Amino acid sequence: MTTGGHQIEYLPNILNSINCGLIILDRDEKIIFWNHWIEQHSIISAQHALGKYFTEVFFEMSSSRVHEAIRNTLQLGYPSVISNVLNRAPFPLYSPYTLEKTAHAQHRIQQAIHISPILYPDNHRHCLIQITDVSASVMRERALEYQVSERKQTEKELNYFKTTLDMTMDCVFMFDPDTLKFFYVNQGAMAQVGYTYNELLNMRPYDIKPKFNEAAFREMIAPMLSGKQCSTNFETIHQHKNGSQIPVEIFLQYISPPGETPRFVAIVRDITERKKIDNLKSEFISTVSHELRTPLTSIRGSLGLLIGGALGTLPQDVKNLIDIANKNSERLLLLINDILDMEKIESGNMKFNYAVQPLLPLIQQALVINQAYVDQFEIRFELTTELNQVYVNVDADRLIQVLSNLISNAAKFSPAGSCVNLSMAHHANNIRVSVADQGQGIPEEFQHRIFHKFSQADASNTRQKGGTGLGLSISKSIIETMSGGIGFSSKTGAGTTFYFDLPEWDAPVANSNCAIK
Amino acid sequence: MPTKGSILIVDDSRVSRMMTAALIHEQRPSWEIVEAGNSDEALALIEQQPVDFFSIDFNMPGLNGLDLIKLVKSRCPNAKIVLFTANTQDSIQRKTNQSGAVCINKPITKQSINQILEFFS
Amino acid sequence: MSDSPLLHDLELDLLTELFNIGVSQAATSLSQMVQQEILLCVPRVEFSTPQELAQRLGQQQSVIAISQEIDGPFSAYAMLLFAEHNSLMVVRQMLGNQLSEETLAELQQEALSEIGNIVLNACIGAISQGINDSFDIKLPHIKVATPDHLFDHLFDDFQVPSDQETILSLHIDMRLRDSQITSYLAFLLRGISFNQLKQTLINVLINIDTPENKKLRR
Repeated sequence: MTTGGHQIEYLPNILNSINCGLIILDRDEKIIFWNHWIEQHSIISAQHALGKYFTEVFFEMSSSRVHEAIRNTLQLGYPSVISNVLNRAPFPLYSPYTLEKTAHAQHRIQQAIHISPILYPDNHRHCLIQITDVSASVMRERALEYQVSERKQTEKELNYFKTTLDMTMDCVFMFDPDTLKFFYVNQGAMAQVGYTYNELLNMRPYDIKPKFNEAAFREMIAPMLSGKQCSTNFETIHQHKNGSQIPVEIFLQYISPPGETPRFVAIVRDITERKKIDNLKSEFISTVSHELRTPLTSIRGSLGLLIGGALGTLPQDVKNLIDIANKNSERLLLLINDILDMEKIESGNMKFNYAVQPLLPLIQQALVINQAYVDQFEIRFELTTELNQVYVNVDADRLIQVLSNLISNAAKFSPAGSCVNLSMAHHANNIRVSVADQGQGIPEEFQHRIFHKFSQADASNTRQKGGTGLGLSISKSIIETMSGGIGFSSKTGAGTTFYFDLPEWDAPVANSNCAIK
Repeated sequence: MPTKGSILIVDDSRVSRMMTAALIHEQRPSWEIVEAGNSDEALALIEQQPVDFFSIDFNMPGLNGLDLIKLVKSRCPNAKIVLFTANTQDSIQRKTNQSGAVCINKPITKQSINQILEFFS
Repeated sequence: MSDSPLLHDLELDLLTELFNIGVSQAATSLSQMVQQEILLCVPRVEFSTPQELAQRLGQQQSVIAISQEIDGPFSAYAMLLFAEHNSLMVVRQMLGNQLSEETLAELQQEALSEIGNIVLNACIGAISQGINDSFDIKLPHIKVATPDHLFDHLFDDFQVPSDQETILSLHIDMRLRDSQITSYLAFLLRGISFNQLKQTLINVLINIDTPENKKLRR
């Protein structure tokens, strides 16, 4: 200590103001300096400590690492580092801010200690012990470790879901609602269209769909963006990078959870197999129906001739039997035609000849055609409307087919002598045609299947009412193909109303583009 | 105190062997002192001549001291063996005792050599 | 690699023995601290230039060096060197817990200081005892650097011309619970210190009471 005179006097003051503990031991391990910090943190005053042996004051520490280090320093002159990580809190020191009267081992401050030799002027080695409170660092490190392990845990969970999504064999595409660019595609998706992850991240759904351009695609997703729909299911074609085309069914959802950026998620299924099977089915039905129809036509032809008296008048009982045969073969023919119609609609092969035309005449025509049939049930039909000329864009024959179906159903299921009401009215932007009967109504258990193929309320009904069970299903398909909708309302015991809506069109002007009102 | 005897010093450090031999010779001038630099040399030596006492280092290339002790014990069951090493962790001490030998701490000083000789008598 | 010409075989042998003793004692202390078996062993001692040692440490890695300045029969910087990722493993293995793998935080650096201090003190102690003399040792410093920059400035202090920069280095194998870690002990000797080291070793060797020595002394 070779500093100027004044400074030496101030040294104890300085040492007592520093923010770490200082203890100096002489060569016999007696305490000759005990700074203020140590007083505060050990609750032992300098008065009580000075002059005592180290092991008198810190009696539990006699065989500790610290004591061994002190001996090494005094005997050999070696300095020692006693780190916190490997030793924690060797000295009984406590924070002055949270002192409890009975200081518990758990409440010791975390310590870092340096022990070094100092040569005193008398040439004897003394031992300097410096103690620092590192509790704050320890807390910080523990918090950091906790954060890191939390983060790892979260990453692990996230990864779990991500790899599951990545590897599921379903093809998943996700794209941004504004730019329409893909931001995530899983392995299945990449395999389906043959592009890499990076390539797809620069592409949009319509880039892989030959049936869509940007405008058409945006039009399709518009109802989901505006909240009218949250998902849609449709069939289309995906084009592979190598040019081959894959028929697919897409389930597209718009997901916008609160607080998150919204996104589109598409799950795409390759329906090549299904299409093949459907095609095979259709072909089969077609072939079989045609094969059935040919002989049936002959049968009807022959029976018709007989009834018509081509071979002279027939005895009544013969006539009766032939009548039965004729009616049934007619029924069979109707069934086959219905089945063929159904198949055409489902495979998209039914041809529609659209024309914008007034609706009223078509309804009137339907009533005339079915008059004879309806008469046998003793039902009266009345047509009511407040509309003048209204126009629709339809295939006349097919619309009449639908009307015939509804009319004949109403007649079949109405009590004899009752009246069936046909009406035509505006409904939102559409024209609604309703057929209301006063029959028993449709039983509730049956209502959800009414438009399904081959569904009839019960087997007994079939025998009585006739019909193939395909009528409503076909009508639904036809109306929907013509951009309309079909529905019903029914109350048990109070009758049923079937209706269909069609968009209203402007009267056609020669050589102009027709428009929907 | 046996005046006659033979001791084999096994250590891969020549200096260690020198120092050990010198200090032992000082205390037991009539003993025959032989040296080996590794386990193979040691085993070859005891084939050729009987040895009463062994001082074996732990850290050696090839077989370490403990394994050598086991082999020596099986060949010379009456021999007194010391594992002379700086490495005196509990596990080493235990294993040495289990083999019927004793562990003495290096460094090689008069005191440690005396400790060895005490065990031998 | 330049070694044997600088020290005679026996001198190297003695030095290796002394380091082995020191390092074994350090292993015992460390082992007691953490209640685990720790084995340390020094296969050989080498002399190399800073470049050669840097090469052996691996070019890219970051190295942690715990160094203590020593003064006595010879002067040197004594350093314990670990590759950074190994150093974390040492602390983690000794504590047997899952410390974060990321970086060496300040508290872990201090723990390494302690480990370095224990190993260096033990080695210097063994040498002191072997040559029957003593050293002054300063508190350890810890530094992180790439191998080529590790010895920057240290030789400057020693004012050693670049062709005389010699480092006495030992490779230490540390066997901990589940792993084996390699570390290095390096002594950077000042120019004259090298000769002083050689002299002290020779003095020890001469004083061993071998028959040859007795003859020499007469």
